[in-house]
Amino acid sequence: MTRPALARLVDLANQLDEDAKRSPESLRRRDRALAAELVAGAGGAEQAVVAWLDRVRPDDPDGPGERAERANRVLGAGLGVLGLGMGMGAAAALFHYDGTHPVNVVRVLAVFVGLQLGLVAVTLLATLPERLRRAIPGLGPLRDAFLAFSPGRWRLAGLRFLPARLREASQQLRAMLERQHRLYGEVEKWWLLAGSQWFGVSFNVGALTTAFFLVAFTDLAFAWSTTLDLSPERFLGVVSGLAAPWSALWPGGAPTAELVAQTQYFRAIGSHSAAESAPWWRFLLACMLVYGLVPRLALLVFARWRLSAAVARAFRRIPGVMALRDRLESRLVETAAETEEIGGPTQRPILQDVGAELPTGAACHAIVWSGFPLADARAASRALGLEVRSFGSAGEGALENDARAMAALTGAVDDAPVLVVTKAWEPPVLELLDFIGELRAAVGEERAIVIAPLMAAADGNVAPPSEPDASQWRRAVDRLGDPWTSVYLPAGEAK
Amino acid sequence: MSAAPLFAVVGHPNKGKSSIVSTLAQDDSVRIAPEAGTTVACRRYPMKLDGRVQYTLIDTPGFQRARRALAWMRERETTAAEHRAVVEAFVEAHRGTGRFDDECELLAPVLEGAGILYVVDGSIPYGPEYEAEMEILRWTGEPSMALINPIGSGDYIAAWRSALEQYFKIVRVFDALTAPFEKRLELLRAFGQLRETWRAPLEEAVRALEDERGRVHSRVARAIAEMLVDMLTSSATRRLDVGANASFYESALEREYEDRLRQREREGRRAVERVFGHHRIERREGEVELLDQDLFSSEHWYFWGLNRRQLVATGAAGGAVVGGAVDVGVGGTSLLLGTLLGATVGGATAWWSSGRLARARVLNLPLGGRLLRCGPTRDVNFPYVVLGRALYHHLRIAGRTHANREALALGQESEGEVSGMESWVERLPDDRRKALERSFRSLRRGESAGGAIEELTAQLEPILAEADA
Repeated sequence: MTRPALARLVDLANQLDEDAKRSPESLRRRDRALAAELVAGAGGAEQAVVAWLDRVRPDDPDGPGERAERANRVLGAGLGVLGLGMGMGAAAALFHYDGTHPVNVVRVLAVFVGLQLGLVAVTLLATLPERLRRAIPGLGPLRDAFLAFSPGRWRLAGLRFLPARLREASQQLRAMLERQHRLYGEVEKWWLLAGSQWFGVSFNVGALTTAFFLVAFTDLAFAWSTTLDLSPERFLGVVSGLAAPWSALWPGGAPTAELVAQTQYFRAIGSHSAAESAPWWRFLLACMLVYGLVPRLALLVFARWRLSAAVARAFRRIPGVMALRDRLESRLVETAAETEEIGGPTQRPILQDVGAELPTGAACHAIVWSGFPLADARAASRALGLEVRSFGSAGEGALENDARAMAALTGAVDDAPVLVVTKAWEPPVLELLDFIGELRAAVGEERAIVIAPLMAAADGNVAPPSEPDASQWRRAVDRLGDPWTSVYLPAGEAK
Repeated sequence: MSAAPLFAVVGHPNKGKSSIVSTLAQDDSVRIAPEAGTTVACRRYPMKLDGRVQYTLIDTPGFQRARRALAWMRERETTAAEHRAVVEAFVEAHRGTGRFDDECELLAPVLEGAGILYVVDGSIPYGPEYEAEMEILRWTGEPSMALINPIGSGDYIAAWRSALEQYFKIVRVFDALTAPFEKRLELLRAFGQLRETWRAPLEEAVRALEDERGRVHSRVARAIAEMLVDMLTSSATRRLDVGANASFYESALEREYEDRLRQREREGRRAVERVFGHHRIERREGEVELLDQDLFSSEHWYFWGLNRRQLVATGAAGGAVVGGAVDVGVGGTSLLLGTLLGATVGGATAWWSSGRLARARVLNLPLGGRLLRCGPTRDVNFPYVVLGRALYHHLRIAGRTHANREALALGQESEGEVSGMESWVERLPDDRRKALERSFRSLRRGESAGGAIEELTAQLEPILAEADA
């Protein structure tokens, strides 16, 4: 189903507004899935966008676009009726003949030819392209003023008579055109001009039918008169010029010199009957047709063509359409996860003070974990500044090594703290924490176990850990919930 | 094998597995923290091409009890041919028991047939505790590769390489935090070498990623063009009574206008970041400054939407029609004096009466008033400043990996670079600079913005591509 261009524009703008609130990823997925179906049928880029719109937003008789279009049609019909009425009224007034004063040809020509041609000329000025308009001083404001008063705008006055839903849709369209005037300026201009031409056509149809009705069903007398200094010869020249387009094909439609001479007001009516002045009607109706209706019809066709071109241009230029085309035309590449990450441990605050300081020279038993570079008790004593009474290693090779290290401790006669020296740069893995648990079981409660995450210096010494490393070790020990297990705080500033 | 290849990123805790996945999958939702054990369950990152999976990366938790797991396996080892079965039995026996949760979780995809990407930190010394992990992985019999990811400043890459080469046929260094796009593609290609049947899907994936990267420039160009057009055409307005003191409102209006510009620039930044798949960047950037001295204009407005110029034009046209009628009346002997005079009188009358009209009230509603407008800026340098900042931001984002979680400091640590980017216009070829200036001029004149976005996008695309190169 093809929806009207303006409805499509409204629907596209609405859809792109809605899309702007969605994630680019979901849009890419949706549009790429549609693209596979659209590519086969669609021709150019614009058709692809139209086809896309029809898929994501099927033609909905109650959708905003369709409602705006319906409101537009209703307002257009109203404008047409107004034009018809005004045309009929104008013709009825100008062709009025009550047997006393004949219809003044000059007045009919002034309104239905002179005034109309003037308005057509202004309309043509208004249709000039933007660059030309800028080049001619004063033309821009004149055009704006003309558009401000143009009958196309009168439609807005009819808004209040529309049902609420149609009125809202139409107001939304107006708001869209005004809000993004730079984008939709041309659409608005041609929409107004097309409306004005539609009014002009209706006006002329109304005027022509009324004039023809009066000619056919009443007895009209015509004359020409003006207080201006206009001789019959000059007037003949004017009307012959006006009749030039059809006089060759239809000589009866052109006034003769005789007719002009005979129908000059008052002298004429005295000596000639109304029937003798009758040939004027052919000329007048031909003038109304050729200089009134035909230019308006041509301008209406032109304005509608330009309107649909402006809509098509706006259709391509609405921000979001380029991105849409990109989504339709490029392969969808997805690399991110499709599921949320399952929560890891949150960084809870440390609940108890797990730091322990050992005075220099204090006695301890040392176990180096996982190959921390301390070779023996002497090296450990020197590096740590403590009296290392026994030395073992665990955390590397077979599990039996861990058991051996623990067994050595259980045989110790003193209750000096057990110092587990580990690499500060490695995280506290569960394997070490298991070992601490087993160690606790082996040495019994209340025996101090001190975990010493340290940095190894090149000269065989040790250094305190960086603050982030120390902090993760403190947190791990805190999680153990063992009041006799702590983290060693070596003398010196933590880096 | 018809199924798309799987790659399990495994290793010791806290060695940058998630960073590698984040960078390769271009996904900044991956949780990365200095705390070990941030990843507690496998998470899959399928690389899809039009919905078809080309390969899947799997982020896994780190080994926590590798020695104990290996000890369990060794107790049940019979022959080398049985290694994989023992690993399967291990996972079967411990799944859901709470004892070896992390090991079961990380071994499951490997036993599913995933290639192994074993990650170590090359900035810390090698240690024997890794050997149990590597041994378990070897037992699975799946193709494997080791990645040395130097997280810190230390350099132990050589030691790691010689240790890793005993377990893995391919060992590569890959810095997840700084790896440029080409390096990432190179690594993906290397994944394809792990198994013959994986080569084709990986090659296609790499081609697709390269194409996608090529399209990024036009997307960024469009985002910047839309931002520029908005910033160069937007203004803040306030309707005032005719007698109101405009200066009283000026500072508030100027603030509103500046806020609007800054907000739009921030939106532009976000749009560019989204193009690159960055959704969580914290930015630190000095706000754009307006250089204009005079941003204000004021005009009358009238009930039916005309401004004073339009009213004058209407008056002049009306006067011209009346004067024209007189010219016709005298048979043209007035030499169009009537038209000229009519237009002058009509225009002048409209000008004179417009002020009064603005004060008139109908049903207590004002027929008109004054419209105070701040912006758009007419400063010819402003678009270049905005563009320079946008270009610099683009460069920083284009080179940023998704594993990088530091705040993006623009114009703070790198003043030199910023000023360099702002003067980029001087280095632009003449034709490009002229084309840009034409677009900016047409925007300053208030010509159609829709076309300007298209034009600017086309002009910026090659500039971005060159800057990127």
